[in-house]
Amino acid sequence: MNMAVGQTRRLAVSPYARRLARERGLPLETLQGSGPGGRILAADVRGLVPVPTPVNSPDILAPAAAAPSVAAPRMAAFAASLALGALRDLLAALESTGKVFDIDDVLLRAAAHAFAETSEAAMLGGTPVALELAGRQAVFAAVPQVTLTSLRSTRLAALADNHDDAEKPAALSLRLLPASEIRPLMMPLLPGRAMRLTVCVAAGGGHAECLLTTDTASLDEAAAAAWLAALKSAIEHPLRLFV
Amino acid sequence: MSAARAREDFKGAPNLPDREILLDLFERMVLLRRFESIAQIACRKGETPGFLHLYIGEEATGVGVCAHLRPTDWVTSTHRGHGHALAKGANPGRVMAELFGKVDGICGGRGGTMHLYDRSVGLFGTNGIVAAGIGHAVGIGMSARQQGRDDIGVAFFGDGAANHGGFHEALNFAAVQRAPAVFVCENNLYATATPLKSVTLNPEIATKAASYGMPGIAVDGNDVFAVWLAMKEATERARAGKGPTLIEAKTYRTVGHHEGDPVIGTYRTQEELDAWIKRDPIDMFRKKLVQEYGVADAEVLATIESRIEKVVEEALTFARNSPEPDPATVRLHVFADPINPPAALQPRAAGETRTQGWLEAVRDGIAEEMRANPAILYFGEGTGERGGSFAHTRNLWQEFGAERMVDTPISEQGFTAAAVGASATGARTVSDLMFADFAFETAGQIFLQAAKLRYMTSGLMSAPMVVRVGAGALRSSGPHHSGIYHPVFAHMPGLIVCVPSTPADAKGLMKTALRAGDPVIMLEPKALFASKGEVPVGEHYVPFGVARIARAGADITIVAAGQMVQRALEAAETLVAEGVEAEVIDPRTIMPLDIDAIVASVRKTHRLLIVDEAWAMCGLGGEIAQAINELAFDELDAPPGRLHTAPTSHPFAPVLERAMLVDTARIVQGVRDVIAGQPPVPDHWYTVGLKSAAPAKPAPAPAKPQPTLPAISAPIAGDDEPITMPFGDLTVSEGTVMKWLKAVGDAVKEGELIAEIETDKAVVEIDAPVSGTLVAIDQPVGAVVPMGGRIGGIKK
Repeated sequence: MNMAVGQTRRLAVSPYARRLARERGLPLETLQGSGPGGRILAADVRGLVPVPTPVNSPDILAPAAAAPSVAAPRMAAFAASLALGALRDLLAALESTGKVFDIDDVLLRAAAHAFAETSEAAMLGGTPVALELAGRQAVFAAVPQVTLTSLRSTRLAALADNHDDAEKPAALSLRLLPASEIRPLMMPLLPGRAMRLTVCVAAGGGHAECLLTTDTASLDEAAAAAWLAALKSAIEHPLRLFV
Repeated sequence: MSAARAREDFKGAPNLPDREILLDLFERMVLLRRFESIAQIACRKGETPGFLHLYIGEEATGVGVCAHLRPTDWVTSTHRGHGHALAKGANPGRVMAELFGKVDGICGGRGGTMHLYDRSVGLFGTNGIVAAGIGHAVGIGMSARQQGRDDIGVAFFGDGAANHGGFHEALNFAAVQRAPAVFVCENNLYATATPLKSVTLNPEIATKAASYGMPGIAVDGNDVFAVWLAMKEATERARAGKGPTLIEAKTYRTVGHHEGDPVIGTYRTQEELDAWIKRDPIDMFRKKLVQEYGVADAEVLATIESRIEKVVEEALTFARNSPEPDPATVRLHVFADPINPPAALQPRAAGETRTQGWLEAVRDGIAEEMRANPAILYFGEGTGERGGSFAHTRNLWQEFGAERMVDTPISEQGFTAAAVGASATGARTVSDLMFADFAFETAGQIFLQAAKLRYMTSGLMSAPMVVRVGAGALRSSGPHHSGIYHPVFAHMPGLIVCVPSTPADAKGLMKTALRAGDPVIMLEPKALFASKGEVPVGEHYVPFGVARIARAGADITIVAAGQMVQRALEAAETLVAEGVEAEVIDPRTIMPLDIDAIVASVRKTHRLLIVDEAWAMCGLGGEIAQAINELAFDELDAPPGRLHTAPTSHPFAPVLERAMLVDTARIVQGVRDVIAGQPPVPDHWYTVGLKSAAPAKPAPAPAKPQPTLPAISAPIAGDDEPITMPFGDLTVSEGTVMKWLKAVGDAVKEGELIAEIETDKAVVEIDAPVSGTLVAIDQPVGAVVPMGGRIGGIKK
């Protein structure tokens, strides 16, 4: 006789914690509940594994889950083309007055702007955005508050040093692929990041192709699409990013 | 003027009305009689659902009164009101279809026999509530006057209503307002089965008018011309602005109280009935027309009768052929759709504001709306020149005058009924009841009349009045002046319930309420009357059903309305020190309830605490918590909590009152408890004392199964005419065959008594449905027969 059968006790799990565990494919039995009577709370689930991890073994599915659990990270991807004409003209005009900005700076600012415009996405932890550099990340906090000039100087400083912000919280990582005439179709999420934006600027800078990858457990598909739409709008009407 | 005098007046009078008028009175009485007779048969066959109260015997009153009325005058009626509906001009086929509960009925099948309304002919409802319509007629008259018309309101009611507060309050209010109204008491001597003489020491109802300083006239209610004469004078008086009149029409119903009720019963004798049948209003008038007035002969009257016969037959066919209402429409016509008036749906730019006190802001709102709409009337106790007990109507009387800022007697039922009647006929009204507790003095008008009007009429009518009250606890106001009761009102489909928490919302909701299509219960927390806040300058409407996020936060959602909002905000500020950011949602209107805003907040915070000034039992806390279970269960990281005022009446002693109410400290602790996963445990069920009691016995099995009603439409096989146990009283389901007066093979005549069946309430006489030969006795003496069941057959 299986001893475990006799010892089975009903796990006390808050509905939200149960949902998070189901979505992330996490085994509830392995969790220590911090709530009253050992009830497993959302914080306990979040604390176990912060990143969606593929789980294939049916043994560790939540036993109470009646619905068939899909033990895989729930990824979603959204593509968009960005018209860069207006931005290019604006950057050129600024350059003529001695103020130089790269598209990297504008993309960081536009991503923060999209967070501010999409309340559900904003709840993922605010506006810190991670810029992917070679083998490391630089996280920019308070992007909306600082001037674009100081944002640029912070970015240039980050490029110069060697430290890695991969452990710092940020909802989004931003990857600029040095490939023109390429449309990215599939990009994995980075650990700890619920969203990843990949951008390929076409030769000549007239337009860019971008791909937004998201973890649907953290962000609803509709909210993700709204976020991308907000980003596209900000890039294509760039003036407000500079004020 | 006595009944006898009325007749004397006529005999010598040369002013006999036109022949057409006299013949029309006859025709209408025949219509009422034949219609009711057909309805009676349909009821016995089980074709009409529900109760049926017939007007047979009282036709002269309804016809004599309504002959003076225009379609733009309104009559309010009683449970015995088919005759009033027809006399006022309602289409017989559509009235019959309504009795059948069919889609072509005048109320689309939602009203039925006791709730017949027809705006096109001025029929303000038959009414299932005794005396409820009397005050409506007062408001109807005042509404017409305010709109510059000389239309009047006429209330029919029975002798039973003359001992009801609704009668006294309405007559007094009407008299003092010189309301263009006529009150017609159909004294048929019995309130259901209670003799008038046994319930009053003054059975002369007409004399009660003297108490209110208005003329009272008693007439022979079976003499249509006497009624016609009395009503002529009363109508002219009302139209001329001289005030209301009470007419007592002494009459008699020659049928039971309702179908299935015995004609004689235990309360009246066969001799009395026979005496009144000899005074049948139609027979009496027929004789007068032919013999006394000489305006018609038997042939002319027979032509009229055969024409009416055709009308009622067509009405019956129309009703039978009309489809049933579509069950998919059952949810329609509870509220206006959209529930918000256009003004409240306008997008508004955030503009200039100014700091205002609560009372001033709401006063401004009312004044703005009264300037914009001259048909707004404000009824209240001391709200006129005095400016209201809370100074909440200060200066309005000075600007709008006593005709619009109407100072009322302490007659909540009377003036709220008037508010219902006025608001349903083109005016808009505020019924200011001073304290929420006082609303129960007129609960029937709010719950049974105003709230249901739109639904009963399938959306053709509504009562867009505002019930304005000061609500909630305030410094030892005590048990009768402290309640808020919003869950009680919100329970009733058809009522909009507002509990504002800021001067801006109070003004904006009041302005929206004064443009809305439905009755609004405006519960203004007295504790906030002294509060100040930023109020938008200019037109400012707050839509119903849109919550306000009073404070944003990510850790827990607190739902609070009225004076609890400020307590919740104070608690939220205290909790910041503990690292807790609470979101405070102010629903602003309890009905409609912006549940979406609460769900959206819980999706963010995953925790919920409802804080409400009303009591917990069947209350807002349970309602919202369960809604979250249903709509956002997977979002909950802790059981929702609720904090309500303790389940006691409001004590007077300040220390006791403080112990009863929810305060900031309790909210802070409640938030901590919910976050800790252990919400406050309520104890409002009062079951503690029962815990040790013996286990409840299982419910006993029913003594015997209810007999199954036979399908109404399924004909019994055979070529004979079935004799059936008639449908009748709704509370009786079967009867025992007591006697067969005929044997198989006997010849029987249509209408002849052939059997008797005894039910729990009475002996039912079974008449032969057709003439012929009794060919079958299916149910012998002693057999128990369900209603509608076949007991035998007759071959023609």
